[in-house]
Amino acid sequence: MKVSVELFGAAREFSNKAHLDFELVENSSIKDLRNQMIDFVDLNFKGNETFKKIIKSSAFCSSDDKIVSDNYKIVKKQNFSIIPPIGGG
Amino acid sequence: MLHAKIIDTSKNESIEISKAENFLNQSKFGAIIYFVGTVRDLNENKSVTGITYDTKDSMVIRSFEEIYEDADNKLSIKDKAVFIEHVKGYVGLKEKSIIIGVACKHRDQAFVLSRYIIEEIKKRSPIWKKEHYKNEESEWLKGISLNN
Repeated sequence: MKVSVELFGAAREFSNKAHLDFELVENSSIKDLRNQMIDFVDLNFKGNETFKKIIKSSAFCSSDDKIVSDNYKIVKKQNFSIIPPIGGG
Repeated sequence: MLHAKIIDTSKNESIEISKAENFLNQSKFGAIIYFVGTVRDLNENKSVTGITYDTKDSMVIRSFEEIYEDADNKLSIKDKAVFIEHVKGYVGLKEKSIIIGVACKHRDQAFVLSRYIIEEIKKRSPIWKKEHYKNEESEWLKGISLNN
């Protein structure tokens, strides 16, 4: 199933587009999605450690703006956002 | 009473203190405080020329609403008016990135509430800063992880 991840903050450096799409098997979790994003960085950015650190320290939120844990099961085609560490003001 | 808005500089919008004054100036309040955040020219020994702010708008507005509501419970300041605007997009030196205006009956409440709101925004609102430097490099600043 296709999962789209909207990019924010430092994660915007991962693509010229506002989002990245990933193909996950059913019953995957946010942890699996996180690992796929790390694989994406390995493949496209020669394992850029800064990018990987961003992914590891980021939260993910669902399309209704709720932060979801690594154990959250993705059961259908869904959109998420990656929320890197914040710091406005 | 809360006003919460994202100001998009790419649409030539900007923060105007007069709008906060119009919203907050009411006869039932005896104390009004404005906190205005601006872009400064030096950070960690780097010469800054501007900052690009990124926001997840819907979550930012909701966080402002939750912070406002939490002030009822945590600070017991029920009678208040709060005006919060934060920019998204590029902001140059000395330009405003955030305004928090609070109106309360008494000054003690207004000082406490103003400080509470800015500190909570730093911890809870999904906003990111990309600093631009004189040497034409730029960098996303480190922040607080929401991944608990």
